[in-house]
Amino acid sequence: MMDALLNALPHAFAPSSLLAVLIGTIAGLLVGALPGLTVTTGLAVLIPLTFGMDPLFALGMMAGMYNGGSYGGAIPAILLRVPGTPASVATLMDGYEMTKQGKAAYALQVAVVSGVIGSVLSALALIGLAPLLVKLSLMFGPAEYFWVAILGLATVASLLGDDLLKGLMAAFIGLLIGTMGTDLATGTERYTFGRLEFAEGMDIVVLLTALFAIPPVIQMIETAGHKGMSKELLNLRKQGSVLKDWRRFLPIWMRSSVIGIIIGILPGAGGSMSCYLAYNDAKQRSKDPDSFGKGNPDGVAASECGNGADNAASLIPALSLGIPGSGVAAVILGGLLVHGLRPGPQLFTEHPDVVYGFMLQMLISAVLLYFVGGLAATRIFGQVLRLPHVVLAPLILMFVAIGVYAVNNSTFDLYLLLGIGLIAYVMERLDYPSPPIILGVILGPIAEGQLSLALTISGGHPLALIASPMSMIVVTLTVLILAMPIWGMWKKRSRAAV
Amino acid sequence: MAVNSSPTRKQGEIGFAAVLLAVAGAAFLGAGDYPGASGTYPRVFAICLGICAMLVILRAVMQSAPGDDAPFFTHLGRFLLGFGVLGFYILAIDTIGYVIPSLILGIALPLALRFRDLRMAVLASFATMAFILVVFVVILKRPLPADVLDPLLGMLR
Repeated sequence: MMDALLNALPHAFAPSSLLAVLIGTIAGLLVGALPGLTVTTGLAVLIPLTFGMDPLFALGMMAGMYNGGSYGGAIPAILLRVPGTPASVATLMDGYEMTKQGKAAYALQVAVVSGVIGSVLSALALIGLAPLLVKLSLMFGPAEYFWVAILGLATVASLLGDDLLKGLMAAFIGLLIGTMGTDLATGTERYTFGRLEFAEGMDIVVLLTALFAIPPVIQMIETAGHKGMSKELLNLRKQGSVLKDWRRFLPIWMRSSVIGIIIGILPGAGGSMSCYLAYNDAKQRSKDPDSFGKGNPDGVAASECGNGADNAASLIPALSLGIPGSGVAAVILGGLLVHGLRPGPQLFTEHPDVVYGFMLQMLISAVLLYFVGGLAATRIFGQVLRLPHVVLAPLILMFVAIGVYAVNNSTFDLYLLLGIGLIAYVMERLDYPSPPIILGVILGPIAEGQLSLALTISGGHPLALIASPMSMIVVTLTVLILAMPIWGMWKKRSRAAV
Repeated sequence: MAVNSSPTRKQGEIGFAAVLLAVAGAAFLGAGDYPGASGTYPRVFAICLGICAMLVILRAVMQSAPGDDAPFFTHLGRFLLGFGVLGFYILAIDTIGYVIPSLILGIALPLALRFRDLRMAVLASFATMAFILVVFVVILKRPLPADVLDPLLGMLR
């Protein structure tokens, strides 16, 4: 491995390769920051353009776009409360609160530094641990995946907000919405109301945008503020340096990176789950868990670090076995095939310079993200907040409308946006938390599908769900996650009684 | 825009929970048509949602909280303006396309909210539209909704 890595070094650090990574990172930031556009869309547009190019130049752009787009989603989430991706919902909870408190620049810096650290550690894991981690991912079957989804759902305990009942209702609404569409196990169409648009369920981007973007826009119109944020509030120097606070964030970065890498290598688990798990972990270990969701930078750090750590890790099974860990990894596999590179064990023996070069490019793009992302986010995107709310509100609606339309090229989604937006506004007024809805929509179908598969394989024996040691480990983790808030409440009450 | 007949927060709390209870009931009954586990899975969530909604209604009826009598809408007139404008905007996109309704929205909404710096509103709207067209149409070749300006937009592609 070391020989291959050393041979790939000059290729990866060649000026053309660095330029490709830079272009990809900037394009990824833009794509991630625009609501409705995803990294997958960006890659899908990019891949045909790279046809005929040098493979390492093409892969450099893909690596940059992956890392750049992954962080880009945090920018509108923090500044405007419009999550660019499902993964940025966990970032939004504390990031937007920080913006409201006049700490937008600091929140963006926490996000970019945490994302960079997660991405760098993930790239190092990809380079150094790929063969070992692949063995770990092969220990997961349907039963284990079912418990991983339940583990993800258990993190809902940290997203419930102040009112347990309303938090649970939001989670059940999400789980119910997650049942919409064709049940793959039986072929039954559920809650599609005869509409083809619902055959694959409710589109997550439409739901995300309606839940998180419409209520604040309506609130901007209600308050009708004629003044924007002052320049001073976007001045990073006056808000402190994240790097100076490294001692505070270091344990969160380490734990969130490990969580992101582990979730990343599990095919199908996906990036958003790593964010929620990392956020939940940071909240449960915090001395002040009540401050989460109210502008605690630790929440932003955990979520973005978990998100970044998922990126390169999801390429581990993709490159080693040809099994993509996420939708983006699947598109990158397509990109490799376009350039005549067949993913799998033979890739490491037939094209070691390209595969290790690509891994190094993931590392380079993660480092570049600090400079490009930090600069772009605070100096360019941050300036949007200087516009008065009455001007900003229609501009957000313009982005939201084209973004939602672009998902399926359908005006039906725009009417859906209006309807869900109205419900989301009422929920927000009544203090119903929205993140549990997203968690339910994402993880509900995974849990149902894997449960059905595990039971089918075992001939309907429920005990098969806890038959393997890996299942037992995940079940134990789930119980611990659920028990921690109860333990915390019990401790609080005991202290109050004393 | 002095519309003040806003319901109270308590009324809103009970009303919304009642709507969720009805949704849960409809989802439960609807799932009866689905075979086996396809029906059981959503039914479980519908029951849970229904129970929670009933608890919220009971809690709102039996307990009183400090903000119960506060108006549900902070400014009903502007709320209606916001959703009305959004509804018309979407209808207009569906009818005549994206570009013209977006520019009108970007300029007219600030003016309706008594923002007098027309120059800033016009500049911001046109700059945003130019950025959107460059990214979505020129670079990413994403289709826009059918537009009366399609002959002009075709030149960008």
